[in-house]
Amino acid sequence: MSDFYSKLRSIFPPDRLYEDAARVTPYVSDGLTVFREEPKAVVMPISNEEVADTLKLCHEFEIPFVARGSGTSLSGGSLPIRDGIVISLNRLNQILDLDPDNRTARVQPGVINSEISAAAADHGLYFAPDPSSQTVCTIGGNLAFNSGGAHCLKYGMTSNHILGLTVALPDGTVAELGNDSLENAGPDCVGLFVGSEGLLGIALEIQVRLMPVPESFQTILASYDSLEAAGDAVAAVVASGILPGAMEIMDRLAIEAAEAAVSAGYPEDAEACLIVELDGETAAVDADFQALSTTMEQTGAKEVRVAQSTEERLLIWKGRKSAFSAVGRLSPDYIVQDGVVPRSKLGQALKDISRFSSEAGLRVANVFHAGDGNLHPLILFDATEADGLEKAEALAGRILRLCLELGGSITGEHGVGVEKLEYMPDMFSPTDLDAFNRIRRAIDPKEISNRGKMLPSKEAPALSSQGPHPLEKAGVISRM
Amino acid sequence: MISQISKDKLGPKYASMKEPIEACVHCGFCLPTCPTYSTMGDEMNSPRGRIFLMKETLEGKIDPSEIDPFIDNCLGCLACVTSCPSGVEYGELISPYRSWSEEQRKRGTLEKLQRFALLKTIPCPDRFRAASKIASVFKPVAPYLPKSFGAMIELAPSQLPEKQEFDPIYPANGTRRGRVALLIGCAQQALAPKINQAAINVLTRNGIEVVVPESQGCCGSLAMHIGASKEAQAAAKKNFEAFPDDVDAIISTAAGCGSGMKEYGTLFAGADEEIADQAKAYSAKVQDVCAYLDAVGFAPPENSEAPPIKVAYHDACHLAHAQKIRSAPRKLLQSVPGIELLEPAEWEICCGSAGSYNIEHPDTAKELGKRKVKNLMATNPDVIATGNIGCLTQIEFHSKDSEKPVPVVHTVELLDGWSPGR
Amino acid sequence: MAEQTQNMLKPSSIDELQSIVRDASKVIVQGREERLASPSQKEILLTRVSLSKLNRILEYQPDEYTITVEAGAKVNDVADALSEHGQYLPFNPPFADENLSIGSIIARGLSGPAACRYGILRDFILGVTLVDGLGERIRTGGKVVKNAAGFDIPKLICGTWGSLGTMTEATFKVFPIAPEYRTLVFKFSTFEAGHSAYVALGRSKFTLDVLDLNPDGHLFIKLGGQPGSMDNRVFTLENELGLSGEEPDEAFWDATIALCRFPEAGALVKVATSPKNIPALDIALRPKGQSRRYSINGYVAWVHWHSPLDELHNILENLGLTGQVVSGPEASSIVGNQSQNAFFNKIKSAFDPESKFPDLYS
Repeated sequence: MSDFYSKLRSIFPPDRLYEDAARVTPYVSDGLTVFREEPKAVVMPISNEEVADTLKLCHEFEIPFVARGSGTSLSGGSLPIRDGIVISLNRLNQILDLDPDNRTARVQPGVINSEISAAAADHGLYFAPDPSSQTVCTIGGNLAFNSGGAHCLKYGMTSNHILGLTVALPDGTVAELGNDSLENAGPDCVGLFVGSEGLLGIALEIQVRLMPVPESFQTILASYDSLEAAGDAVAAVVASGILPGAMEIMDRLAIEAAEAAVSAGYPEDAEACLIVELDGETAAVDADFQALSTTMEQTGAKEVRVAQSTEERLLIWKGRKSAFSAVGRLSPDYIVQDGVVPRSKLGQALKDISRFSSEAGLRVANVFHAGDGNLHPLILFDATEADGLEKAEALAGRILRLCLELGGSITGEHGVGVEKLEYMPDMFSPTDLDAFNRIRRAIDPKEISNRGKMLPSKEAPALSSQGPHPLEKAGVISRM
Repeated sequence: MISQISKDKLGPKYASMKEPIEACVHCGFCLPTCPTYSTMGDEMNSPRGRIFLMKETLEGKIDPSEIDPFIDNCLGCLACVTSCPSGVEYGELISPYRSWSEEQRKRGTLEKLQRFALLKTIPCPDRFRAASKIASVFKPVAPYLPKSFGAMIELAPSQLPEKQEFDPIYPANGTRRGRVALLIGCAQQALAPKINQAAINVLTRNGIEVVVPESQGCCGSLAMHIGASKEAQAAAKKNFEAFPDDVDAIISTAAGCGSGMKEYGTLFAGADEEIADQAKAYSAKVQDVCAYLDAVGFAPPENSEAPPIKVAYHDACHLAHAQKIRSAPRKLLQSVPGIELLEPAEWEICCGSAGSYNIEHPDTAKELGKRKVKNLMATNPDVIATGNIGCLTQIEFHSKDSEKPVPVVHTVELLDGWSPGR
Repeated sequence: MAEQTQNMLKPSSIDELQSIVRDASKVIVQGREERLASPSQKEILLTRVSLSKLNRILEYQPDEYTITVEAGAKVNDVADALSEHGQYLPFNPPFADENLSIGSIIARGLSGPAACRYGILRDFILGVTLVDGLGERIRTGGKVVKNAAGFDIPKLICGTWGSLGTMTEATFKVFPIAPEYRTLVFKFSTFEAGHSAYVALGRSKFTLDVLDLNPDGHLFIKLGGQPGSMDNRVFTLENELGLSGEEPDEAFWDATIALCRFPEAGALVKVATSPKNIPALDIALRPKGQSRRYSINGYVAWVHWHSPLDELHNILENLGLTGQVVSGPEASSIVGNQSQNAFFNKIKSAFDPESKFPDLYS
């Protein structure tokens, strides 16, 4: 093993290889702090070769690794692996090429999501996926977890905007997948790689699709007396045949928190607010806006406000996108869930969540992508209470199983990570999971690439739902 | 984020550090606006990384000396506070932490000497003047000196303006609408006395009487921001005595001083009640010159002949982030006929001046300074305006190399009718 | 037992299909039984399967914007069911006259010109169930419009021509049909003029349903939206292009690239390209005089190829492009750049360890 580290030292100079506590400790967790694990080392490569050489070494010595960008995962996706290393990709952060005529950009994995749009703005283009943490999170992480955002119904998720990849496979070989076209000829290997939660290797160069910035936007903020009424409004909009760019709902707690964070002017006396955004050609948006206004009038909104300027529109979004972190103002400890339900079951899901919440005696703030049925219940708890976290996790589990019962998914955009591992067997059969494992082992026979994430496997036996997390029992992770 | 920090162990002076630590949810929204993270790209040089390290240290899991380099790297610009959705008051953590860790720290002789030199010269205009003269002699050999000493000498102005004395009181023009006391500052008074003069002109012209307390000294902010709380407290106490009570506001023309004085409450946390109350009362009166002018109403100078000028406005961190003042200076500038206001990219990123940071961490400061100048120059301005002497010096220094350097002035100078020819 | 006609097994349940796969040594799923490929290949051991009996629409709730169908369901039947509720498959499955099954469209990885507006097949396939080479039934993806759990097999499977397994059902995201559409042709006088307008439009604010280019420089455009807005939008578009749009002739495209039927002879090849690559590709193809059509905003070239496939392979390889033969005896062949080859073969070994299904990359 010491051989491994001495070889690692020959790849990285001391200022890009961290082995001391002060430089390793800040990497023990990502956006989900209830899980912590200390890596043996953190490396900071500055070239594709360094990444590939590191992986070759990891493969040779069977050392597990996790690639990390800004560490904003809400599912523990970039949680270090015991006895493993962290490969920090923050210095691979260049936009290598931007081709406005082809509407593509080639970027390194450490580029921050919103920087792509900023660079493309001069050409009237943007990168559509807009996870709430887009000013922070890196494209490498977006890719690994197939991140979503507020505009997925119309524009799809990250996966729909990644065209080609240069990847380092877990044994250090480098492969080219996809191309610079929107279309494929042959199998969609890029589609498989995106969202594979780091299990298939590390993306080194990423060809992304850019889209023309819509000519016009209309952003409507409507407030309602109940969450159900806001949910019904979403159904009414969908039924009207209009396809909005985004439909988002926040409940009272979330509104309160977001308002405290950014003063976006949300209606603080409302039980729920609905944001609907139209985008496209001016003439088309104007016509849709007429139709939408008529529909909205019949939804019993207390108040309907239309953003009058770009600033106002951006402020509405800033508040929405700050909501998760802003909930930290209401409670320093919370866990975010990410289940999906069929849109028509939104009302039922919200009613049940509210019932679960009072049964558990825990407050739940709701922020969600209503257009996609993607719920984000934020379960607030007090970690200083002996069973605070356990109670919160039990509630989270109840909510996820509810999503599955209603025909949905355990994760819409945050990924499985470590946090939802134990629910994978609820969503997939042993046969399905076995197939996933076969795919994984075909690419990574030693299972070193982000071991312990997404797939319950030999190191991470899942299946228990109460008491300590299975990963804890297995000694893979520890908390606090 | 839960912590196992014991308030009892920390004592009343430092117990308050627990709150900002526990308020942090580790979401990372602070990362892109942090100047050290955006240049170094590693977690321990980010706000949330530092918070985590401070937590581990205060819990006794890591020795403070191990994390010192990363705490020292922080410019204290507080951009992280602006970008934090969870409302973490990082400023209320980093200053006390620095003071706490200073108590446990053993510094090398050279480093001690430098800190001593800084703390003794910058806050005293006369010593600063003397030191600058000495420094100018050493300029040719600066590259051969230890890095930060070299920087200290490199950054020292080669020539200082004439020393300027102020009257104890400047009456208001016309009807008196208010009465304020002006903190003239220390480094600023040596480097650019014209700023205070401009402030006095603008205030009096707008019907405000200006008192300039004679026995005033350094406000102590520089010391406070590098963890020298004893020195900071001594300086502050001196000003509590020097400043009169019968004024509407205590006006600062330097963002760093203004924000420091607003933090006196934290500085005197755990001190005896009388002095703590005095600190709070003093703090409550502190106002930045632009914020004050905006609040009481400002009439631009009557100068119809003035040619139109394009002004790139640089947000000083201690104004924009620490005091959350962004719109007042813009509003005032835009009310001056002929001024066109330009907005540079990355307004939230520090210019690298940050008190004495450019002396203690010259490499990072240089990188940030160049980046800031690049962003400012990209707007193609006639003049750059800012509300802090540190930024002013830093930007002036790093724009020397740009193709077409432009003057860098304090906002209040423009409000006083500054124009390129004048 | 599965029904057998003409040497073709027609399972009526997934269980039956699983046992067929388990028992067979080589399996091929025939999407279009009426046009059997000539039985030349080492045939005797080959088990031919048709999914024509697995043809139901399993779940369709219009207000969910999703539909789940069996692989043997005909695309046209699915489209009819959707249009009754004012919805459609936004990737615009082509070759309507061929009456292809959903499974066939997915296996071939086909999207039509109107995919220009919202995206291609991969962007609208949410979940698939398949029987792999071990005869195991695997469900992947989900039935909701957003899902990030597990490997994204639904995307991977597109364009694999049954090499990973036999798909039995699929779930798609669907969208509302616009209340009104307009189709227009803009007749630029040269290929170059047409191409530069083509590139400019792709980068522009216009949200078009179809944006195709003919080698003669003519742009073929379709746009949809609210009735009140259409005149205005067409007017703006004409202004932008400096040309008046004309009604297209009935037979605007050469029948072989009209994407209604597969050509009788030769190979129809789908080439993945990009707007800027088109001139170089067009110049390389011109000497052969083969019909071609640039589609989906310039990201796809349809080439009707009569010469030996190797020649096209060389042309594409030189340009760094990849194509796949969509119809004809050489269907499924991949020509040009094959950089994914090694990676895909590893994946195939995971799905089909005994190589029961056809290889895609030889």
